[in-house]
Amino acid sequence: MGRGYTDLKLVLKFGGTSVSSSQNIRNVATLIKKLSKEHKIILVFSAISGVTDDLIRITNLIQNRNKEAASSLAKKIIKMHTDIADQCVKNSKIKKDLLNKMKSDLDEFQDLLHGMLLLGEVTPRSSDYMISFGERLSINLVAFALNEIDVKAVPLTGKDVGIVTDSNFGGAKPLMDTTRLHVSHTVENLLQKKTMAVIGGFAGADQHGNITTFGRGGSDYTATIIASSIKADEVWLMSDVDGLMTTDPKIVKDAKLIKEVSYIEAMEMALFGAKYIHPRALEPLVAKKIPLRIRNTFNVNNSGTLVTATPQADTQKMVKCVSTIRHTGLIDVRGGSMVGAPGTAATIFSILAKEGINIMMISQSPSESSISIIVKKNDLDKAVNSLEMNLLGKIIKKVDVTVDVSIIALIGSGMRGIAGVASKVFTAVAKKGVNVIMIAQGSSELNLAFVVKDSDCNSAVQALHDEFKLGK
Amino acid sequence: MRIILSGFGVVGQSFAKLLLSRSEDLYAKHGLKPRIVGVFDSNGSAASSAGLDLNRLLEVKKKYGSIRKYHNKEKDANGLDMINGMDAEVLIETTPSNYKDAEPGMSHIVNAMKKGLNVITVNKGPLALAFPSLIELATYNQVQLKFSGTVGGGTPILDYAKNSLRGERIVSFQGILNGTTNYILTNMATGLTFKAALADAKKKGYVEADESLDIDGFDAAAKLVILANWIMDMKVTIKDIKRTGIRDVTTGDIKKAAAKDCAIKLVASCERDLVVAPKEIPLDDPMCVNGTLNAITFNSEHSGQQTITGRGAGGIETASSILRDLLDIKQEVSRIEIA
Repeated sequence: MGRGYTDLKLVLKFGGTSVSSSQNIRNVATLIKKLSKEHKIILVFSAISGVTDDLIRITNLIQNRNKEAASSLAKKIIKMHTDIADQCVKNSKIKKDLLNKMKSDLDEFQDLLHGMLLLGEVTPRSSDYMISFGERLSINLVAFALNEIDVKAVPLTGKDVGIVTDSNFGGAKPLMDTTRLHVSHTVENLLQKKTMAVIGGFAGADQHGNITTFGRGGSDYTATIIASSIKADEVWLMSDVDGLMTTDPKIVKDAKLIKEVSYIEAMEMALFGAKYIHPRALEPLVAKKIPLRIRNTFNVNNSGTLVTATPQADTQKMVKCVSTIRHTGLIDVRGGSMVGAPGTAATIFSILAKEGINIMMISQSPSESSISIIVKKNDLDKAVNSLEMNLLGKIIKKVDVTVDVSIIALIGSGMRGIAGVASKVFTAVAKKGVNVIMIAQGSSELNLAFVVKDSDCNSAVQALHDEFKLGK
Repeated sequence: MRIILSGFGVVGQSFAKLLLSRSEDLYAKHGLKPRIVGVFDSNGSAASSAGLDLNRLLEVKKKYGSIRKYHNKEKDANGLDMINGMDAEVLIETTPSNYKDAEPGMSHIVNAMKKGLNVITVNKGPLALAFPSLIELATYNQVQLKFSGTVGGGTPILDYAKNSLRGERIVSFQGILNGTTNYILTNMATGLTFKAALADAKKKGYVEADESLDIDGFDAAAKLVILANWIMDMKVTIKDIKRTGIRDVTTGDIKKAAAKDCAIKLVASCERDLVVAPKEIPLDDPMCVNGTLNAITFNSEHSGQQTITGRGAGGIETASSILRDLLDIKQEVSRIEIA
């Protein structure tokens, strides 16, 4: 595959689409079997697409005492898994084992649901227990589908494999040294027995054995935690795209696959919405310098994007990609009494924080008379209201809102210390008649971000992509 | 301060005796009133939330060979039940080291820290197999994990390197960390064969019940793990140590070394690699100690070579190291509470 090296220790993580139908599961199993002839494979799987969202919805329904809706959504999940289980394995003995395993997990799921419904209460702890079930079920399907094609494999949850985290439910962090001890023990034992570990992503357990989850996209994190624990040679994140692109191919036709990026660039891209990597997922790899590859399950001949400590020189460019975050809201807060008043920004931000609003971008003019803030579109009304309720007429004289704006960010470590990048950017954008509303550049110079009206977004992105010759 | 004592062998009993003889001085000088509220070993247990009568405990152990008879009732808690069920501030773990799975000590320590107990261990097994993890769990649970008796027994080697040399950068170190093998090698230098020297060491009671722990270098390797983690900030376990014991050392080898004014010692060294192996050491090297003595030489960046020698393990020496750790814990706990 690709470079002709063999016998690597690989951690492969597959996303939700690869388990979303019995056909997909069988295809993935065949691919894994083929890879396992050349390499030592350790697998990490997400839940079936949409299942984790449904499970979260169930917890919300329980909280709102909507018992019937919660039960019927649970029934839907149970049926979907039982159906796929029924179809994805043909051998009657293996099928029976799979259905038994599914039944015992689903019984536990129903017991939990029942308990939570009785209490009508969702704690962070019970919520994590509930939403970890998606992975718990999907790994059974894969492991038994592998058994059917003569690949020895066992399903293991994050807890089973030995991922120990803190007790911060919903956003847990692994206790890495303890995790390394347990995971390496479990996985090495299985490798010796030539048995493939099929590990459920997204979740682990705290030191008391309570199930914890890593938050959105946490399966990537599981994969990199496992890789770091067993000193894997590479991690492959298998999804349905070829890798990271120079920009959104829906906007720019000649958008190209990025061959190599550094860890830091990849982290920037993840934060700027390159949705294929969990922002924290790279941390476990950095210290051990384990490369990560983003590849396409359905196009394995493409070697994808390589994320590494030191990208090869010929892949280095000033700008690696133009990312966008579409459809955000801009709030401009003004007031003469904001000038020279320490703590104004803190007051504004803490009011927004109290409402649970995440601020995506900030800029303040040195005159201090205005602060511009970008928030998600969904948060916009709530944000404006809370500012008006708390501050309007006091330190704020005016709150202006621009409803539909986009953040455009250029990312690349090659911009560092190079003069004239900004002028290149804004000249190119100005030529298209696009007005720039707001600008921010971190002093790390890894990214340069600015805000335009969403209707200007496409032409600005196209112009920048051409200017920096990213399609070449 | 309430203490649960795991294991009541030589070290456990020595510690109880030490507390009895020092109780007034600990109270007056250090404000420490240790109460052993629970003791357990593989044969049984004894507990009292007000503190056990140590004299009676020692008597019962001497008379019946087990602490089981301390209470008249035949009720018995196992170690984990006691750790999980009893209120206490400190667990002292003294069960024998085992380098396969480190049990039962590993479970004792992990459960105690989970419950918020500070831990003193003289059992090296858990540290050898899981040092980075245990330190992480101690930090996460905000408890103290002390182990100064595991290396050098009564000789404060760990404390010297960590605290007395603070600010200095230790580049490498090597040491004779196992008294039993040093005794055997010293005797072999007078002409005894390995077999005869081993038999003599056994007769003197210097050899562990499982002789392999000494002879094959496990004990020295475990101490090397502890030093490498604690002093050099390496994250290693016993699997990372290249280990050779002294079984294959012949009197011929020793004579050959002697001709060069050297002696063969079982040396644990941390340079580029972590190695335990027999090695020739010049007779005039300060580290070249005889009998059951231990010695270690630190090479530091600015202050050069420093060697510490002293008696290694022994019941009362190890008990004194436990007391040292206990005082440290008391100091740290009261510092936190006042702050």
